Amino acid sequence: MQKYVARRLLLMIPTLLGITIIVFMMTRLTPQDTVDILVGEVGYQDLALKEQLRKEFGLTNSIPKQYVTWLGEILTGDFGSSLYSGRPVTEELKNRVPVSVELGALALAFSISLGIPVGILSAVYQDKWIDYATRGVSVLLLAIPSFWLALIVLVVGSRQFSWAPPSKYFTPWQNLGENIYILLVPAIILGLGLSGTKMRLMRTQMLEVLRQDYIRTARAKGLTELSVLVRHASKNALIPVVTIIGLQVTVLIAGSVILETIFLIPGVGQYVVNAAQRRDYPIIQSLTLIIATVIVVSNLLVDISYAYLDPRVKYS
Amino acid sequence: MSEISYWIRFTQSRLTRRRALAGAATLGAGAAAIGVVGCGGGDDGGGGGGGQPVAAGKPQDTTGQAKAGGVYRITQSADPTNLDPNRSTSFTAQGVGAHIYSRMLKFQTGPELAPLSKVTGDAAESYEVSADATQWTFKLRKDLKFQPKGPASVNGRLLDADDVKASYDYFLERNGNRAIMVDTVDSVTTPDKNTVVFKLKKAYAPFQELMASSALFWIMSKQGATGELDTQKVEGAIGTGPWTLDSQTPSVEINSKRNPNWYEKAKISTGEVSLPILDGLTYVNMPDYAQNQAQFIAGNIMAFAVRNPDLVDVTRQVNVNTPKLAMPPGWLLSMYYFKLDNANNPFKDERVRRALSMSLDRDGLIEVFGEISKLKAQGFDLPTGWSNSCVPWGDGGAFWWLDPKSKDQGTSGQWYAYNVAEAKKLLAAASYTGQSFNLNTTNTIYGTTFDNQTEAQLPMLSAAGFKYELKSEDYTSKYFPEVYTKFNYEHAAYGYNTPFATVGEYMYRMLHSKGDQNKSRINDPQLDALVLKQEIETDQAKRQAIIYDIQRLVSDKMYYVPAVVGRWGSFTLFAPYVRNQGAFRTAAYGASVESYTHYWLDRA
Repeated sequence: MQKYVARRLLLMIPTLLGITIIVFMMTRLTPQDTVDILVGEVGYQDLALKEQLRKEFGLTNSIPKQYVTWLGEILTGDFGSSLYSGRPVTEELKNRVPVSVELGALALAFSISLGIPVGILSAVYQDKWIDYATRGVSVLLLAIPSFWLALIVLVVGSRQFSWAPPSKYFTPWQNLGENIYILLVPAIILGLGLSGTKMRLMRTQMLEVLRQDYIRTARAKGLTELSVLVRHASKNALIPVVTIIGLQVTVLIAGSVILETIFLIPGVGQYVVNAAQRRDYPIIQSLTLIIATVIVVSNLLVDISYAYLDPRVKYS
Repeated sequence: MSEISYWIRFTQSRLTRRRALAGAATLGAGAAAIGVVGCGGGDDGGGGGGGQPVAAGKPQDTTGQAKAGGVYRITQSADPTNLDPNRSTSFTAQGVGAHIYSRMLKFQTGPELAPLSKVTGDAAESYEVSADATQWTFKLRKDLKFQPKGPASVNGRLLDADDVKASYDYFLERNGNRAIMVDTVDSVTTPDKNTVVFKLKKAYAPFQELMASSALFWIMSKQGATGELDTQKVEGAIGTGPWTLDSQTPSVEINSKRNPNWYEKAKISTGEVSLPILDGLTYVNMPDYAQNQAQFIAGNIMAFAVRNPDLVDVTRQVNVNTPKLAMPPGWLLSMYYFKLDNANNPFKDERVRRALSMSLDRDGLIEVFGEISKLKAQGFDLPTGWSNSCVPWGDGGAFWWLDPKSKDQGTSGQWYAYNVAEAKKLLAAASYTGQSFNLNTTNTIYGTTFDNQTEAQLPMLSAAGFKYELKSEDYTSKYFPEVYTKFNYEHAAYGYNTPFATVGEYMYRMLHSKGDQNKSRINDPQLDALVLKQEIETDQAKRQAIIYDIQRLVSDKMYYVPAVVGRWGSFTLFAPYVRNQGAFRTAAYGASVESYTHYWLDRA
């Protein structure tokens, strides 16, 4: 197992390097650079100013040199500064990443606590009304886009109930209650979308597992149904579901971008969208690297968790 | 283009730059005041051709009853791209600059004044213009202090001419909007600590508009201008403006406090005070419209620019005493332009251009997209207007705009009439028999209103007999760098023009044969002469008359065919206790100085 983990960690390096090269090249190849957008329409033809700014930002160096310089800075923990605001990327990420992580974690936790039990319920009561109802709900949850649901919640909430979510974000240390309150609604909305997949997959896996011989054996041995479901069936049915959870981290990141904007959450989402629109290279490059790392690491954790869930799985 | 989302924000929702700008476009009467500011010598000229009256009623100046205090809480659609307005041309950066920093001049506001119609002193208390309008001598206020913040070298000290000079040098070094000043100003000197002299390269009568523009030259401390203070941080953003930047939490809010050292005074209920009346401003970061709506209905923000389709529902929801102010749209020109230096262009013939103009049902487009009659029946009377060929109708330009529907437009007004039969006759007379031409435009940047209006106009062109090949291109990769900036198109193009800060820029940059934004490649000596004439005319009323002549000429030739995208007003709703929001209207980015300093909150 340790060798496996070490090998996977080593493999992460070329993966991430490849991602940085692709992202770096793609941002440089998009039409108009930071300076074009910074000087605006009025200053677009001020070639002298643009040249001056490009020199200042290091954009007149060759692409490989820019890449190597940036990589060198990353390796020393310097993610650069926004070409727009001048604020260090590290400082921004320090404030924003925990916010997005908290939102993502809450959404994931909600989706797991809803999706898995409902999936189990649906399988246990197969072809009964509970099953039909939960299957219908899961399809609905898969179909409804989270941003649409968010806007409906806002519009209906304000028009019918004069309700609005909090307009100011507090960190957990400033005010835990307000912190949870501002994250609650977007976390539930995000989590609902993610729970649909879990519900359906859990149901399918449970149905398969419940038909296995060892489950019949467990029942024949006199174990309670609850014990059979929880200690034996669920654990084995969870393996593909855990894979899905790992894959949903990516979906979570994408979904949270929109919901952060709508619900005034100062996370990474708004930050990366604005940076992309402005071609703010240090932010785009650094954030892409961080997000890629998160996804690669989460996939690794998912793979490692198999070994614990299924004793048949052994890594060497 | 400052940022891709700039256009969507600017044009589509009226949520951002004009947020909480109070609004009845009442009399449209501009007051002209040129000359020596501070000597009470401005003369009021009739505005003619200004905005339409609206149903909201005449705004009242209630400053005499005002109570000091309170924080005005409104929204912004995005974080400022930079706290230093010289480092970003984005409206967000200019808006922040307006809070903190002074200009040499600013625009006076009041119940009888149209936005941007009257220039008054800001850092300068007076100025003199040489007879040939090439030398402008500004006398700084002797009591203008920096905000009480920061190191001793800046904290609360008096502004002097060296600060202005250093700021101007910094502006020239960094600001993306510097081109107009580089072209106009020859040198800046400071004969004494209270005097700044601008020597111009040529006579330029509208120079005071440049000095008053909220998108150009901001006055910082010399410490800020030379880098001793980091003007990109809250701690280093120190100016002589009415608001002191207090804190910024990115993507959350920006807080400013009133600057107790500001020079402008007013008499309120408790006696004379220095403005602002409010204690502070808070801008909450709120990019999403639905969130804005929810927060306003819940009473968490004090102003909301409601979209017309939502007017009825939202106003039903809120307090019956919620003030509703109708406001014209921003000063923005949508137009067709033509490659007149292409010998094979069918649009070289002015009859073809006139025909295109006459094929557009402008009133129909405004009615359909603005839902004007429907809203009027529900009690919401919105201002509407047609842009002139080279001056848009909208907030900020009322004084200079000539209403194409008015008698003052003269015979050139006939080319604006919607008359397909006449358009066909013109085409026949010009021997246009359906030759296909390329029509370049874009659909990826300007928002759905623009895109939908483009789609609505195309059948109108076809009905008149035009045969076109539509080339709708990506804004960033094709339209902006090629068509818009380098004029690499063949026959005709359609889009928005850059929203200039001053009418002088519309005149020279768009119309003069040497103008850098002369998209139609106009080369008309008569027009050139008129453009240069208005540049040296120091009398406001006479200058207006020349600019009206220019609009008649350009309309007659239809060098640009104006469309009407977004040429209808909207309502801004305010919390019931906000006062003075209608009486001190401005446009562009100067609201925090020209409007909010007069606001007050009428609540216990």
